[in-house]
Amino acid sequence: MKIVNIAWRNIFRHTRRTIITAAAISVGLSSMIFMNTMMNGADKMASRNIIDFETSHIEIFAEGYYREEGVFPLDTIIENPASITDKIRKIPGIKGITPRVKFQARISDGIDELPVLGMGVDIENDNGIFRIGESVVAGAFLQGEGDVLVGENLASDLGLDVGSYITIITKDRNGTYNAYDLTVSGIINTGHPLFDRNMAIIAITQAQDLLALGQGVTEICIRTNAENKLEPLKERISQEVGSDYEVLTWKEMNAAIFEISGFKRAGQFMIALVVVIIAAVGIVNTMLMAVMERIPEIGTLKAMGFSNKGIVKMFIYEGGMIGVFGSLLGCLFGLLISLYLVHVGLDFSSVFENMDIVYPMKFIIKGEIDYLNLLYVFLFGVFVSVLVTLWPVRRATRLEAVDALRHV
Amino acid sequence: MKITGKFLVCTLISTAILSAQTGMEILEKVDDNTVVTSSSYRARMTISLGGTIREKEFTGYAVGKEFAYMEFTYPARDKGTRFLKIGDEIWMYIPAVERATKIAGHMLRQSMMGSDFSYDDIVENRRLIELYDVELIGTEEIDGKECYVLQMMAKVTEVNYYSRKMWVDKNMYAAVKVELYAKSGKLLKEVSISDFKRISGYTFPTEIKMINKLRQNTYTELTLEDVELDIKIPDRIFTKAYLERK
Amino acid sequence: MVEAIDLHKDYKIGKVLFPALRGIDIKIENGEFTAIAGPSGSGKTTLLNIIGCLDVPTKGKILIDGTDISELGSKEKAELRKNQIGFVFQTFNLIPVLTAYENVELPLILLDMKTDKREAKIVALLEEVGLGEFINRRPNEMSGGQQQRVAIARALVKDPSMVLADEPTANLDSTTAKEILALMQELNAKHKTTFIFSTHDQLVMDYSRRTVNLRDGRIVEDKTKPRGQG
Ligand SMILES: Nc1ncnc2c1ncn2[C@@H]1O[C@H](COP(=O)(O)OP(=O)(O)O)[C@@H](O)[C@H]1O
Ligand SMILES: [Mg+2]
Repeated sequence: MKIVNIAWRNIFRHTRRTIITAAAISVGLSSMIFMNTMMNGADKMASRNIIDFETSHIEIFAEGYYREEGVFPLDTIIENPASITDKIRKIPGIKGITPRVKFQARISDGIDELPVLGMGVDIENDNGIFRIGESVVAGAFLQGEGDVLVGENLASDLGLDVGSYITIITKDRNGTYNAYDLTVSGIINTGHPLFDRNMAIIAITQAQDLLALGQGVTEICIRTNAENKLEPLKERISQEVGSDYEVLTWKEMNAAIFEISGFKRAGQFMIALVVVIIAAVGIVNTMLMAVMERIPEIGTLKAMGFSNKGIVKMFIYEGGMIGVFGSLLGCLFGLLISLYLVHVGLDFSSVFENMDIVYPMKFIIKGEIDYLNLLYVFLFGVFVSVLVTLWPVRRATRLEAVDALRHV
Repeated sequence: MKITGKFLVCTLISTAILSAQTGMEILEKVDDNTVVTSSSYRARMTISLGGTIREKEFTGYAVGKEFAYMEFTYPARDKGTRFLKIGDEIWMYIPAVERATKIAGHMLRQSMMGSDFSYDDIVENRRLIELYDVELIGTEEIDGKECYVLQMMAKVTEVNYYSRKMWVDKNMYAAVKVELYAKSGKLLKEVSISDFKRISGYTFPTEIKMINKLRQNTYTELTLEDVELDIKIPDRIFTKAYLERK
Repeated sequence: MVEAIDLHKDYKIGKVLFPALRGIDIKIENGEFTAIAGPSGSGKTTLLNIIGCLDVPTKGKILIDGTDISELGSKEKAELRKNQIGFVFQTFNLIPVLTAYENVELPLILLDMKTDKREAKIVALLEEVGLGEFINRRPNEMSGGQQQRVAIARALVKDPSMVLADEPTANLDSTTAKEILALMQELNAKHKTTFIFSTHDQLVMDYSRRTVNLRDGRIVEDKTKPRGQG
């Protein structure tokens, strides 16, 4: 028999108390795991939406264009995209290239007028780089000039159906009003709020005409074979196109979004931490009770010659065991919830229906499990349990054997 | 046959030159009529949108086409909202915000105070003759008034409306109706002026109706009262400090 | 040999000093079977605790085999208790989650001893105290007398030079008390271990050869029966 065995027996003195304490830890830890799975899933979805609909992997802009992000200036554009495309086409690792034109516009259905982001896409090429074509839920992808794709939310806001007419109005690069009547050829549901709520997609040639851009485009989008290692490719493209152009990866362009998500992560982690702290208070309480009710026993052991170290060891084992038990349980719960999130997901549609959120993802969030995090959470649970046990145990060590023995 | 052909071509050319000159002359006179040295007025704006009608009131001051100042006095919700135009810049002051904000870029396209006017329509300050080639394409009667019909096409690139069609009262040399077109040829807005007052030698429009053609069942009527022209207006009114005053 | 010289112990109760021992002089030879008798509050527990290196005297000396233990540090005293002194308590003080065997094994955790040797020793000792069949019982499955037997085995398992028993029979009925006393006597004779126990019970004194009577912290009588008696 060893001290560990005694500790093991001790945790079953009050089985219910042990279970409740462990359960409290497990609730804290599983909520941490839940948050992590959610945030990972949300981030992954956001990344996918950005890459698959908005930016592809790498984009080329005219120097200075991107600094005016959100303004969509038409005076700093790529005037001759063909020359750029020719220069970079042969770089190994590039899977596809397509130009786009983004512009601010208003659309009107004859009754309401709404501001939208207009986007001209290359009908032949865009679907090889982006997945807008796959997201058409009614009607068809653009067939040519005069067609427009709108998002599901925008369509329902304006009461549009396939075949409906809308007018798109904007000012061209000279500041002159220009407007076209368009037919809704298809309605898209991408899961990316920008696309589903605020976007009108037309043929790039029509956009160029609408905006008096000639051959010009606002950006050239590049899909690569190396999603996770874009830097070398970006450098290569940069060299190729020269300093008149700016080359950016999707990560660089969305740093702000992931920064926000970093904050959210920290915030939710704090909430989970509070739960764990509550659980830790539970352990402290349980261990304090264990120490108090065993004072004569502690005295007996000390009389036998047990040192404080031995006594501390016994209680640490005890707290640690409850910690391990609770952490295992928490990781198991967390894993189960996570698996549910991965396979079924959480539906936030009702929550976000009327909210203007910038986070580019669907409202059904599917989780993404980080197994390493699971391990960290487990170790964290055990570590916290052991750590907080030290305080109640100090009481046991400060007691002299005589006093402990007299204690009834 | 040959002679007939030549004659026909000559006639067409001379008619074209004649009408072009006439068109320019007419537009020049219209421009002259609208360019007043300074003005002050009270305005009532009636905004009709899908059957509901809202009224707003403001007072305005302007010097040439460069400087303008407006301050809303009614309804209570809009009271104290002010606009300042200097050249092609517009500043807006809302009492609740307590700071002037510049209306620039695509914001200029937006409707002003929910009306059929966009900020662009207010910014416009150049003489039309500088912006458009004009052609007199005929005469028509509008509300019992004999009008020249002018077709105008942009001759410079930086212009809000690529083309305009204008009906000019033959007697007053003032536009009674203007259609504003997008570059694509789509009709965007229609302005009609139903009343003029003779003030200080000018024929000044006092009842202006603007219709945004991209929306149905909408118009905005502007009625000007207490109009005074060619008066002295203190320079300090057209400053940001005055706009932001408490 | 245990020797106390002018042993004083004052307890501080608030600001008042309460003298629990007021000059004890006593010598107890190795292998003796000695009862410390006296009414409740006379200082028996205090004296045993000081002899057992659990407490320190306010004044005076206590020598165990010639070593002044009041000069020892707490670690050294713990070491001494671990190796030399076995305790038996009035309330048995067994660890409730451990079996009889495991309770007896407890002191051996602190000593280096091979597992098989350890096991043989524990089993033999439990048999000796008459609990051969109760090896795997937990304290709550045993009577008071049986529990005290486990406690005695636990005190003896490390072969101490002395066993200190503070009112070991106070929580037992008289028949059981007699059995326990007889057992201790037997073990004292067999193991040559010094037994010092306290009591306020006449019956217990009948079993001891030497009885030291305490009253208000002073020895009022130190009586040794002639050999052969008791
Ligand atoms: N820790 C203590 N604090 C104060 N007084 C004590 C303490 N321990 C014992 N005493 C007092 O000292 C006296 C002797 O106590 P004790 O040695 O326990 O006597 P006994 O064991 O003979 O009943 C008693 O009056 C008791 O109240
Ligand atoms: Mg006592």
